[in-house]
Amino acid sequence: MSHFDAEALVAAKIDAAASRTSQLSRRTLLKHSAALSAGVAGYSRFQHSVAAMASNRLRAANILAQTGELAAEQVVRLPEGEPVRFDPGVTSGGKGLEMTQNLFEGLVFIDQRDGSLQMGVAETMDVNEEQTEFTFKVRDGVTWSDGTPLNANDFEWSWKRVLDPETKSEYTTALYPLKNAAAIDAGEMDLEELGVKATDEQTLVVTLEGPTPYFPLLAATWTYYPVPQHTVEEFGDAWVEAGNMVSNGPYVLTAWEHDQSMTLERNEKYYGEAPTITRADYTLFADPVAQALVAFENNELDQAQVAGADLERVKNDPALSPLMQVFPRSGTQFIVCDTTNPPTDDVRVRQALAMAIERDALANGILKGEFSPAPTILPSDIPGYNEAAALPEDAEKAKQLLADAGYPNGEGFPELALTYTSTSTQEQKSAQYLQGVWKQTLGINVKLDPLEDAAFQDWFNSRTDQPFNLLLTFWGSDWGDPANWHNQLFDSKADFNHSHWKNDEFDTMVREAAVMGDQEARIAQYQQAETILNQDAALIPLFHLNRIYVIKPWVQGIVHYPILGRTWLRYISILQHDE
Amino acid sequence: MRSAFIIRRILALIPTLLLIYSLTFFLMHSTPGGPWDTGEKPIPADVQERLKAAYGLDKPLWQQYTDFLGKAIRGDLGPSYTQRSRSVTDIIGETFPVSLQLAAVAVVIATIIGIPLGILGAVRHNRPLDYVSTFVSVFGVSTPSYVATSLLVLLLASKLHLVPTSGWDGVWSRTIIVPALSLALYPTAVLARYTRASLLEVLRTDYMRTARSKGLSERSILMRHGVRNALLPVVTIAGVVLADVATGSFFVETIYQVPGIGRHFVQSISGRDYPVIIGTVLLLGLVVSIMNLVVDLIYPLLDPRIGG
Repeated sequence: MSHFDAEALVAAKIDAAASRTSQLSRRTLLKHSAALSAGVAGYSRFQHSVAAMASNRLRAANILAQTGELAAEQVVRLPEGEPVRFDPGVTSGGKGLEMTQNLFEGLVFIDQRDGSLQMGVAETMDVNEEQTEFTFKVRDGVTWSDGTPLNANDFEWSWKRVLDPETKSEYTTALYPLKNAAAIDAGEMDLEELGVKATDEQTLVVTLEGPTPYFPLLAATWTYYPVPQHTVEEFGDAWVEAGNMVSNGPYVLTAWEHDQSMTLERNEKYYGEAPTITRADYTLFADPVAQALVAFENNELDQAQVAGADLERVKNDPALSPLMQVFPRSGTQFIVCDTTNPPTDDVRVRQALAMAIERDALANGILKGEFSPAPTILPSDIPGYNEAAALPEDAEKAKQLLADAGYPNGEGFPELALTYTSTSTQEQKSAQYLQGVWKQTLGINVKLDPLEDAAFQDWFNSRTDQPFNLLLTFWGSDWGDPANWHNQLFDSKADFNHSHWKNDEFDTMVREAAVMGDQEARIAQYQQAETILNQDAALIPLFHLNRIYVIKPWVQGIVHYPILGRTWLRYISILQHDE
Repeated sequence: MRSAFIIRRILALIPTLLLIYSLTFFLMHSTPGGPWDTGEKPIPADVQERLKAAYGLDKPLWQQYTDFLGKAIRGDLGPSYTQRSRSVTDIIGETFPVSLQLAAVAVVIATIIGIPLGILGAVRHNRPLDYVSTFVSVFGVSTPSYVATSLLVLLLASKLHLVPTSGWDGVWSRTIIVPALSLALYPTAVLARYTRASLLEVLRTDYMRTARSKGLSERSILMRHGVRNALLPVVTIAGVVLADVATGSFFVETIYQVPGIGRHFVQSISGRDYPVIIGTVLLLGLVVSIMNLVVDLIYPLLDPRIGG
């Protein structure tokens, strides 16, 4: 398939998806006045334009696949890590999420090929004027993979289960937009008060804390998946094991050898279109990113991620480099400054640090092109992205700013500590680069402070009331809305990264924007907030994340959507091949 | 007499295991980070507090110490923190036999190759075959197991396609070749070295000269008198080596994807999976102690001058 054909194919898919989405908004228009649906329709329209904008830069689908006949055996072999806390209502992501997303399906889901919102187990979705209440009509005749009927009650039970202290979920915060969820989680209210009710078997009414226009995107995430009450009650925590597990998505778990392999097979009772792939054989690695490549080269796997030191080798390998593809990932690596601890409490110092960095040298030079330079915090696929918000890269200006702050040529500037995770190669290299460039350009000294994974998290958590200078961290989008960034991380009430940054204008802007009905105005406001965020340099962006894969040419349809980017089996097919 | 000795040794296991437990417990809890500091995203502080309370980790440290001890004695440490669908007993019950099987194969290989190599080295002292024996010993001792495993995978799997690049399918399949060979490297070297050194000493003794002067064949002398006596110190070292491989090699098991206890142990440490750490440490401590006991019991059988 030539590059040109592929672009046209992707564009065609987006058009198809857009028309599906506008059908969705047409249905809602019939039930409510134009003003109400403007919210949802406007959102879908905006999503379409964002997707179109994104698709020109991103290639979501595997375009290197050849054309040909379908293979007789539609089996795909993939690597993954041994799932940790494998239960959609418990996990906060990480290893095992890929299987979860193929085994279960929520009310709605995101089409990974273009990011459009699709109806899943729910047939229709309606929203009230204030965007505080969503009503879902669950499809008739949907069942679990063992034939047990699935209806609105299952969703009510599953969502309440997440907030039940007995479940010990680590991602209760995903449900906080629901009415009373935060209070229930803190033990102040009863579980029955949660803003979700199955008014009858096919109708689920969701009541939210406040206007939440982006709620459908949240409802597509895994914490909102239904889980089978009958098996959870029968088997307890062991309900996730193969043989016990019952699911409602296009696939079922038929085998799980711990630390070795997992097998997913087509769910014959799935309500939707039967996918092409009949079976997925997952090999479970201790570290899939480091270990899968060797197995891929030996033709034991159909896809493997390429990272770090392997990148050079793969680029120069004539057999492997044609199979390599770069999929942007919606996320950013950035520096966090403690804005209440001198000298980083001075905005000029922070701006100087930001302007002295040459992001191209870091991302394309030192990191060998594994990542893309990030001039701003928000990744380019998130609405609210604003290229103009970036601080310029200007070494002279940086020196001037540092002098203005009282440290000409770095004289008298205290040594800063830069803390990061020792096991992350890109953070290690970034830290070394920063130490060097700041010494060279600004004349300041930086001490590197690497910490092991869990030790870093522990240190990071204690920064709520302990001072620090600088730390490296990243954030990957959970869903495609700036609220996942500006409100969840940078609002001074949230202060997720412990920068103690408080800007009243920013706070007001993003809190207003979170509940605005008019999508276009809302996004414009987030763009303005983005300018404040980047100019104040409490957080300094370094690079946007990427995922680089090598994929066998006979695998068609593998998509890695920038957000979460796992492999979704329902789009894949295998062509005939000799190897 | 013998039985009193055995009973005393078995009773001595109790304070040993208690000491191991206490040290591990305090080391575990003084290391920063907890079971929920390893997710993909940092978990908000209040959610962490609630999870800790749910798992009893907010109780005072001495209470957790006694709680865990009680559970360990009853043999039920509860579910793993990282995989709640499996109990610690399940995990150990599934992973330890795998490491044992792999260790058994590795020790067999090491014995079959190492001891004859050592004997040859001693008998052909300072001649080419001796240098080969010494070279193998040095190579085996100095090559780290992850280098050996990676090289074997590169050679046997990637280049020659004789075995898969990773996996485990039991002792009687091709998947055991790479891990067993790389695990056997160190024991082979050690056994070869010790056998050679020990045999060289024995060959110089008076009773060997007596046997020769009696007119016995060199082979008969070697086998019946030389090797048998030389194996004594080798048995001691074999016990240590066996305990070493039986506890599982993290590198070999991780690189070749063998679902053994070594790999799981290290992962449970970085994942701060407290029950699994305690369970594994106690089991491995028990294994090493029992191996030492077994060696001490075998010794008198081989040398009637000892024990009795």
